[in-house]
Amino acid sequence: MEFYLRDHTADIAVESLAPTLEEAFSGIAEGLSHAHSPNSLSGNKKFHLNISSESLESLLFDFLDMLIYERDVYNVLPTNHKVSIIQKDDMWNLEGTYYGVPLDTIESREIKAVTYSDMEVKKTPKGWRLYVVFDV
Amino acid sequence: MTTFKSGNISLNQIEEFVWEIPRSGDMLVPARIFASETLLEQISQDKTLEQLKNTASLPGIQKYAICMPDGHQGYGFPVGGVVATDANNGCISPGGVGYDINCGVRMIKTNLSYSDLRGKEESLGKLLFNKVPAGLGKGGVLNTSLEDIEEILSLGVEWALSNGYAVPEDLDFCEDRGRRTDADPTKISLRAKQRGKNQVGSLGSGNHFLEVQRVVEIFREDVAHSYGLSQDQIVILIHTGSRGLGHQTCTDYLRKIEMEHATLLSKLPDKELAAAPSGSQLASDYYAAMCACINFAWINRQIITYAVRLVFEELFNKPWEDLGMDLLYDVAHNIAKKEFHMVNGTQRELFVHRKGATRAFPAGNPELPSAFRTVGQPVIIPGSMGSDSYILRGGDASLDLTFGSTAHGAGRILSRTKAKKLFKASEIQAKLKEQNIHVTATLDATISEEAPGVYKDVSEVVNISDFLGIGDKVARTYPVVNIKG
Repeated sequence: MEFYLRDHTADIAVESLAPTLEEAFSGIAEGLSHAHSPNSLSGNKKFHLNISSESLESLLFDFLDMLIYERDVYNVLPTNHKVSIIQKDDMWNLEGTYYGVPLDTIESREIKAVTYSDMEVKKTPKGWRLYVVFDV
Repeated sequence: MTTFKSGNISLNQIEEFVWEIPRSGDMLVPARIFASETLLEQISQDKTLEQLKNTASLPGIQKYAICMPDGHQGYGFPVGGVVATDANNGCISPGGVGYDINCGVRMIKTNLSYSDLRGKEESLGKLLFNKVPAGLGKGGVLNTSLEDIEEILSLGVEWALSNGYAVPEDLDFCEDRGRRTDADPTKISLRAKQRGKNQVGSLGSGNHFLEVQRVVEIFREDVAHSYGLSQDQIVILIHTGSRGLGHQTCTDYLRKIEMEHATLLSKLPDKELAAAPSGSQLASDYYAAMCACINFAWINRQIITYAVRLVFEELFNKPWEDLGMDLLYDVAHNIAKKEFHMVNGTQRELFVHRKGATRAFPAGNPELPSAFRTVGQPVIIPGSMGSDSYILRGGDASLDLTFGSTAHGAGRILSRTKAKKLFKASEIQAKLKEQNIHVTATLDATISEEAPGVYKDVSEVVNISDFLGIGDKVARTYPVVNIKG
């Protein structure tokens, strides 16, 4: 699982490439964390997520939106992500965990929001490629 | 006719600093770019022009889609864009406002001059940095409850007045008197309110800042006099918006529009162009929610104003009123407003979306405070860190050319990742200190990413605005102390 911070004029873009969809989702989430604070971090408290959406793109959007929301209300930076994704009927379901690094123990930039701009969720011969632009 | 080519987009020069992309394909109207060739070169480096073309296909769009001299790529809509749609037969789009609803800027005056501040810059910087949270997870000046948030969303700056954080003149000199009466807090999600609860009176990060400045040049003496500005005067700029509450609200409505209009959205070149049809419940809900976020942002800037006044009281050992710390004006640059404008000889009610663009109403407009009605509204153009800012006056040509709008700043030309490679924070800080500019930031990365070289030349942006008559130059200011997240 890899992620890369990509060039974008005003904001930050994260690309992730992984053999499985779940690893690619985790990769983007780790990229989001890295975009906040590039230092390697570890948290003690485990958090759980459960999200349902109508498509893979909206699942990715809602997942990242949830992480940003929980960052602000629990005052932690989500890191060390693990997710599982299943499709049931017309809905995609994600269950995830992360460890929260208390914000008052780090210096971190604020990412405002996830955007749909140029978003990609694509299966390629090299694996799942995801690309997301975040508003800074 | 002079033309400019950018990839497969061709622009015709209409007149000096006015370029047009003619109607083609799905465009309902042409697109106009107000820029010099130099700025147009920079604008054409990213997806700005393509995004501008896309906005020209929005239902009910009037006249032309607009890109200001400081335009750059956004998401869906370019930043530095103005899109006016028919309020009854068009649409309203959260992407045309931006995630940071009512990101804007206010200027506070003082009766101090630069010499009063010499030798006190470091102390002032420390006091401001300790008093005004900047960055992530630093809380806000105030600890508020969800009940407070409900009132703030509804009342705007009137809440601050009732609770001792504002004086009546702070309402007089704020756009819309600091309260959008169309606000409906019930249209804001609990998630958004929970995010905003801990952020009342906070700067955030990125390009937001608090800057103490000195007036270094006056261009129009009479207007400067009306505004209460003079050579060497110390003024304070506050640049921030609606924080997590606004960001969440934009996200929420983007998803609501997506779910209600899924088929339509799947045909759009960018989902961030998602729009709710005028007259629909969703359009009405978004407008009411946006107005509530606008109120929240005004409170945010007002509470920071309150904190800054306390800091100056401490430093100078005098009440802030005796320091003349009155509000000059507060302007929004991420906003959609219902306004009446003349289109093809008829007055039409429009949603004027300004995303990275500022209202610039000229003299005579009844919406302006009486103090500005004969002179035109102040427009505050913050420069990038370490560079000039400008105060303009709403120009006589603005209503005709740009739905009463002008630029909002300098616009980026360099990405954050590139900037971090090119600029070392400590070197930038040292260089600025040599110019007597004191910068304190929560993160070194911010200093690199906001370095002077990453933005367009703000003086060129402002000169074009002045030449076109959409925003006339009144004064130029220069930084003394800068606080960032």
